[in-house]
Parts: sequence; structure tokens; C-alpha cells
Amino acid sequence: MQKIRTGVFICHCGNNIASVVNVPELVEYSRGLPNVVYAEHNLYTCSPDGLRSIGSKIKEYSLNRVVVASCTPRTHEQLFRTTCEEAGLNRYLFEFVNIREQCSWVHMHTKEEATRKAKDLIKMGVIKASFLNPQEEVEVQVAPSSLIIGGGIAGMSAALNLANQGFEVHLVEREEALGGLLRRLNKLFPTNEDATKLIQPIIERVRNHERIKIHMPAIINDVSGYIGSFDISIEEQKKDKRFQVGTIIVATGAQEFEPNLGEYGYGEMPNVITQLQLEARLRAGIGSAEKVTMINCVGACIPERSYCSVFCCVTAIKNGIILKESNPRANVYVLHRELMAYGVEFEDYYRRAKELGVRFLRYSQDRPPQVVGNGKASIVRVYDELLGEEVELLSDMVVLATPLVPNQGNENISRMLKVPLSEDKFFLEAHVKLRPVEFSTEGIFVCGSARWPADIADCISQAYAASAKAAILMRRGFARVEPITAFVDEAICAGCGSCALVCPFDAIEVQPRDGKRVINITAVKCKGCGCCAAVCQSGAMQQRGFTDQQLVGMIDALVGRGIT
Amino acid sequence: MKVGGMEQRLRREAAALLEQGKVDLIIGFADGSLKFTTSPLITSDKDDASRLVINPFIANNLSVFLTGVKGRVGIVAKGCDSRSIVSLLQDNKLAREDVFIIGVPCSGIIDLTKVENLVGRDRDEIDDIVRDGDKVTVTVAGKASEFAARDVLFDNCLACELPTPQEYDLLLGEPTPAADDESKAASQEKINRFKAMSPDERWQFWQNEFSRCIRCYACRNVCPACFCERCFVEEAEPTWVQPIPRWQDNLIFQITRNIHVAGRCTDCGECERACPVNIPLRSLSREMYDIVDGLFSYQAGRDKEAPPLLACYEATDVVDFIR
Amino acid sequence: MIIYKPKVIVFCCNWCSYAGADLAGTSRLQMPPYFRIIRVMCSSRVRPEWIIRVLRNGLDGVMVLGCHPGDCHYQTGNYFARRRIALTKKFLEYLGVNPKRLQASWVSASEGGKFAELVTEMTHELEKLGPNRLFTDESGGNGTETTP
Repeated sequence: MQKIRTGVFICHCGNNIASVVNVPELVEYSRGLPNVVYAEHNLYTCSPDGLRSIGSKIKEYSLNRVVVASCTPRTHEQLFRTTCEEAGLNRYLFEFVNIREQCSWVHMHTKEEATRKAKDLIKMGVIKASFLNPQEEVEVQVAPSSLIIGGGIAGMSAALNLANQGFEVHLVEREEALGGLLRRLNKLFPTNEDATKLIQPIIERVRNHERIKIHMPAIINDVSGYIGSFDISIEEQKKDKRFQVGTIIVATGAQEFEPNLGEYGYGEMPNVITQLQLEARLRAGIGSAEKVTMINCVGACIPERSYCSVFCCVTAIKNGIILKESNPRANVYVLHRELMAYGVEFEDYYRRAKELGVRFLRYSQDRPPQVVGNGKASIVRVYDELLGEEVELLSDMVVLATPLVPNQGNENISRMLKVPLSEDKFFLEAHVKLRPVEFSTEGIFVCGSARWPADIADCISQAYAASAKAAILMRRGFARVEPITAFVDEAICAGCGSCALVCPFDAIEVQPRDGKRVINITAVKCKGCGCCAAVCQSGAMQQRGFTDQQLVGMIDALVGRGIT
Repeated sequence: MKVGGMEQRLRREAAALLEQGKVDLIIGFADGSLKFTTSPLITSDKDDASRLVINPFIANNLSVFLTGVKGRVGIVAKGCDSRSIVSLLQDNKLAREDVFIIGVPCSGIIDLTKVENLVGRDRDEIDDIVRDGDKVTVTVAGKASEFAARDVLFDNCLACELPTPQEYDLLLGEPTPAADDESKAASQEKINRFKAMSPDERWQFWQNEFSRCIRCYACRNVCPACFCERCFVEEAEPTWVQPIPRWQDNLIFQITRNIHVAGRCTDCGECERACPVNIPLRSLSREMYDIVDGLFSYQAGRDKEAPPLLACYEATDVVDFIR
Repeated sequence: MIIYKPKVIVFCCNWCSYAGADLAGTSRLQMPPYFRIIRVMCSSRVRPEWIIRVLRNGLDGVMVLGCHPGDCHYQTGNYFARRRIALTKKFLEYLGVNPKRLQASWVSASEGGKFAELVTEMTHELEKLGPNRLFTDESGGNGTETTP
């Protein structure tokens, strides 16, 4: 049997790791671990230099196992695996040890202990690596078709982008018309152009495109299958339909938060409305008033909902400008907490509003404005933070700026697609910095306000990004399934079939053979959970990359057991 | 129906089954070589059927033989044994059509050790032990003493809720009633005494007990629920338990075994009976049985269509232990 | 004040709890440095035998973290894990093992804070409990020495 020759590469990650953990000490330590024939440290193992070093050391030292101790496998595992493969080493003889997110970043004040922990983690990784076996990936076909959930600006942009490249698109929209939230807008910041004029051509192009099939109104009932061939079942206009797609893009958008009954008089006083309701009135030409007071951050930046919805401030600025332009003598006040006007145009926009005479007043969270009136709002009292005094603003219209909140349907979609939601219940991407429009689950992408409140420019950019990523997969025509699949030792198997009962993907079948019951695993269906391996009490069923020998090896390594 | 009557019927039926070719083998009880014991009888000869017995000493769970024989088998099964058969059906270790269950409505098996303790004599000094309803008469040197059946039956029999097989092809007699509350309370004495100990005392208790364990694996070998082709103790990569019988590994072996048979064990008590060093193994297996019942309302061997315990779940499974 | 350093093994599932642990790192939430994470794809991979192995090796505690019910990346894995761990925990408790040594929780990918809290709490509880001497002999060894 071939002798194991392990190389260990320990990353400084600039000073993200090195400022806490003693990296040279780790290198020394690694050299003494079983089967380790080479160890080095790198400033940035993921840099071209670092990767080159791994490649050359594999060849120079005839390494047949590689361990990298750096950040989290969720960022660079594929990168390092490919590096190994390019140097001639099977990509699954590589093991990743997390000493940044799960060590140096969380034990910053206990450097000695952090170093000790890093040593333990590396030891566990080295032992696991010595039990790894070379694996071949299973290839699955990816159908050149995509499901896009949501027909708003994000969904439509993604649909056009994909359809123009020659892919089939199924666009599922649950409302009766395309356009999403944009349909309800009046004018758009910062150009003040008409929302309908902007969106109508896009809707037309989507409707007329020969490769876009619109399902509307329709809801998704079930999603099964796996990357490359998702089976989608929908209910469209009371009829059930099924189709298969290779990729999925989530573009379900968000909804406006409705203030609680009585909040600032909302729901009780007819002249207290939200910004979106103001947009509707302005479209209908009935939105003018003499004395408008806008209150920002209603239901946002508070303990129950701590996030900022990004563009409600700019919306207030926009509508303030519109109101002032249509009635220069009107009093328009915007009561705000922070004023979010990111982007060069927005600051100019804000300046323009002030030049037009829109007045901005800062209030603080612990002294919110009070809307007073008899059946109708007539006065808004607010403590002006800058002035240091309470002022009374006569108002005949009060407009509340509310945040975008996740759609009700998000939880359902999340469950159907097996993609996570953040704590705020928006969809959660694979990595906030490095993988913004995709989920950890391969083949499924997200864009627009489904992910986080996004204005039109952001929706479109993200839609392009998500559809580009989907196109890569579909253009390539195949995806590689990670070989962390189940396998069985027939000599040990007692044929009880518990494994088949627990498999969520019907990947395991029990078949009769020569009077015995034999287990048959369809690798392409296996997604690698390992439940079957755990329920098998005899240990006949194992999971590649997560065998009992490997995991118990790690547990034993921690106490130096079984290490000679 | 009297025990004598069941025995006659059994001999008749077993002989007929073999003669008519309805089964290839009969597995039942015959008199043992020691007084007041029985031995398993496995035979394809219809003349052997006259050796079959039904008496208060048919302790063994014969279903353990089912996974090792070929062909159609007629098997004598008490309540607990029949549930072990159902458990094997749940695990697809048997086909229903391959087993002809001869059900024995059981009134409990007499624990000879309890009798010996009560009369203060060894079994060879005892003339006779006769069960009549809820009384047991023990004759020593011509003198008869009467005891309550509750005082001499095995603990697991005292707790038995289903002494009459529910799954059978032939029931030899009238159904017997489940154990009453007093019997159940009596069966829990050992375990309750154990539960009264502090956690440290409990662990120390098991450390002491398993220091005697010689890793003979009799408990495993006699258990019908242990149907694995290759037991985990024989795995080398990883080595779950070292072959040297240190108490730590002995205890780990037994804990793991109990988890493996959870939902399959019917509390037949064979493991404790088989242990050559008298470790109170039933104090582990009975508690596991109760834990499974308490946590998941799952009782081994009740429903041959039910999936094995750990191959299923309920939305209502207990969650209070999750932080 | 730390009297001894309780070593805890935390089994994290790749999709939820491991990501949550990463998020705790990205958020720089500081925690006691005595836990070691072992990544599995799903909490349902965790076997009771592993939990027992952790205690057998003299480590002080073990945590099994999975996805919230309904959110398992593999749909049903965490339900099986839940049953298995409930059983193991109850049985070990009966034997005299302090139930605080085995903890199970649901941690989603966005719950970095919860991860940090759980690990910190567990460490403090184990500190109070004292080191795991369950399998220690009078001689001080625990019978895992490999014979040459």
C-alpha cells in the first residue's frame, strides 16, 4: 500500500490569522504529525503565489495528501481542490482546516489557547486526510432551461438575459400582471422619470420573447430533483402543470411594511398614508396637499426590525421634490433619523430638494413624532434634534416611509428549495462578500429585493449576475456532483433496509439477489447527508469523505489516541 | 387451558405440520439436562414432536434461531418471543410466509434463583415446583411450601403487558391476562433501587458490574434483535471497543448494543439470563424499552408494518432536550 | 475564573450550523477557546457511537448542532438526528452521565450570535461540572493506551 505523504499549508491570511495564532509554531508542530513530510506557511495561501507553492510542493515532495489550514471551506475549498488536481493529485485527497472564522477571529484575546486550538484542529485534519480516498465526481446533465420565480424587474431582467442567450425560461408570477412593486410606483429617483414608461417596454419584450414562457397567475407547489434537472410542479390558473429545468433563480421581491393600526394615526386618520400609497395618489393626480409632513423610519431601524431599507429616504426626497414642484407654496417637511442618500446623484438630489424648499428635520428614536388630530391628522409634534426644541408642524397630509419586508411566501419557497433565510427572513446568500447572488445549493440563484431591499439599478445588476451564473452552468451542460455519496459493504450488510427508509431522495433501493436482500445506491440521486450511514448499526453503510474511520479518527486524534 | 392441555395440543400440531410438509423444521422446547430447565429443540423429524414441552420453565427466546435456518419453520413462541419475531419481520430478516408461529399464551416463567433463595435450597435438593394459577408450590424433602407466583416469576414476566402472542398462526390456548399493577411494581424494584442512586453512584455501580464482564458476548448471541451479519465489535477501522475486556470497553459495548437494539428489544430477559457473571443486564434493556416507549410511544414488535424505531420520526417527537 | 479547560467537540452540519459558526467568526464574536468543531454534511450523520467515543476519550462534552426543523438541507435529516440524540441522552442520563455533557441545538446559517452563546454557555456549565472522569481508572489512565 502506498505510504501517505501529507503536506500542510498554513495561512497567515495577512494578519487575520497570524495576529492571533502563532503560525510558525503551527508549522513546527505540523512537521511532527503522523505522515506529514512537508509543512510551510503562506501570507495568503489563496493568492497566486500560495497556489503555485502548493502545486510545486505536491510535485517536489510527492505529496499524496494536502491539508490547508486557513479560512473556511465555504470560500476556497473548490479553489484549493482545483489546485491539487492541476498538480496531478486527486482533488478529494485534500482537507480544509478552519483556523480563521472558527479560531483566530473568535479567540482574539487568548492567543496561546487559540494557537493550541489551531494545533488540535490541524492534527484532526491531518488524521482525517490520511484516511481519505481518491474519488471521482459524478457528472449530471444540466438542462438548458431555467425557472425564474417572480416577474418583477429583477425576474424580468434575468429572464431576458437568459432568453437572449438562447436558454428556455419559465417565468412564474403569482400576481395577475408582470412588474412587481414597480407597477405601483409613480416616478423614479433620481431622474423623476415615469415608472410605467420605464417598465412597460420591458414587460412587452418579456411577453413577446419566444423563449420565455410566462406562467401567470401561478404558484409553485413542489420542487424536487437535483441540480441540472429540477422537477417543478405549479398550479397555473387552477390547473396543475409540471416541467423540468436545469437552474432556478429566486426573484420574488419584497413587500411594503404596513404600519400597525394607530401608529402615527395610520388606519385611523384618512390623511395618514404610506409613501407607496402616496405614489398611487400622485399617479391618479390627487396627491397634492398644502402642508405635507413626511415621517421616515416607520417600522425600520427599531429593535424589532433593525435594518435600514436603503432607499425610503430617497423616496421621501423624491416625493418631496414632486410635491414642491407641483405646488411651490406647499410646506413640505421630512422628519428623518439618519438620512441615507448614498451615491453621488442622491446627494445632489437631496440638495435639490432643499433648494426647492423641502425642509428636513432630524428626530431621535426615543422621541418619535406625534401625530395629533380629531378624526384627521392636523398637527405633527416633533422634537427637533438640531434645534433642541419641540416644534409643531401644521399638516394636512402625513406620509410614512416604511421599509421593505420579506414576502410572506419566502418561508415556503425556502423550504421547497432547501435554501436558507436570514434572521430577518430575507433569502440568505452563500457568502455575503464572495458569493452574493447564489445559494450554497448548486444551481439555485437569487437576485433583487428577495435578498435585501434593492432599488431598480441593484435589481437589474443582480439579475444580470444571477442569470450569468446560471448561464455558465447551462452553457457547460453538466455539473459535477460532489462524491460525498453513500456506499455499502455488501459483506457486512444484513439487508434490513433501514437505510432505504431514511433516504429523503429515494437514492437507495433494496433488491433481491440470490435469495438475499442487497442494497443498491443511485449515486446521482445521493446528495450526501449521511443519514443512511448513521442508521446502519453494523457500519455496512458509509459516506465517502465522512466515514466512521475518518470521523472517529478525528475524535481520537484530539486525545492522541491511535497515533503512533 | 391447563399447561398439560397446551402441551398435548402442541405435540399433535407440530407432528402434523412436519408430516404434511407445511414446515421443514420445528423449533420448540424439550426437557433440559438439568432439573427445572428446558433446552431448545430443533428438529425435522416428526417423531421428535413428542419431546416438545410447555411448562413454567420455557425461558428461552427461540426466535434467535430464525435468522440462521433455511426453509419454512414452525416455532413455539411466548408473548415476548412472538414480538421478537414481529421485530425481525419489521427489519426484513424474515418473510412472514416462512414462519409458522405457534403461539403460547404465557403465564410467566419461574425464576429458579428466586425459588432457591426463598426455600434456601439448591435446585438439586428441590423435589418439585408446581404452578397453579397465582400460587406456586415448592416441595423440598417431602414438605410443600406455597408462594405467590409474583414472588418467583422473572422480573420481565412481572412487567409483561402482552403475554399472549398477537401475531400467530396457531394459538395453543386461551389468552392470558396482562400483568397487574402490583406485579409491574414488583418488576421495577431493581430498577427503582438503581434510580434512587445518585448519578455518581449509578456510574460506579456499572463500573463495578462491568469489571466482571468477560466479553463472552452471550448477551449478544442469545438476543434475537442482534441480527447483524457482522457485529460492530468486530470492526477494526475504527475499533469501537478493544478486545481486551477492560470495564470501560465492556460498558461501551453494552451501551452501544442497547442503542442498536432500541425499538427491537422486547424485554424477553434472555440477555440477563445468559450472562455467566450475573450482570443485571435487564436493568439496562428494560430501561431502554421504557425510554423508547416514553419518548416515542413506540413498543417493539407490536406492528409488523411499522418501520424500525430510528428509521422513522414523528413531527411530535420530544423537543424539550434541545436548547 | 477557569479552573480547568473543558474540551468540547461540536458537530456542525455544513449548511446551517457550520455556516452559523462561520458567521460568529465574521462577526468577531469572542468565545472560550476550548471547543473543536467537526464538520459533517448533516446532523443526521452523527452517530450515538461518536458521542460515546467523545466521552470515552475523556473529552468533557459534546454538542450536536443542526438545522431548524423544516429547514434541513436534506429535508428530514434533523428529525432523525433529533430522535437518535433524545434516546442517547436519556439513556446516558439513566446510567449516571450528567445530561449537560450532551447538548443538541438548532442553529441556522444566520445565527452567529446563537452559536456563540451556546458554546459559551456550554463551556461555563462544564466548568462547573468538572472534568469528565467517567472512564478514568483509579490509576488515572482510561484504558485507551494502545498496546505496541
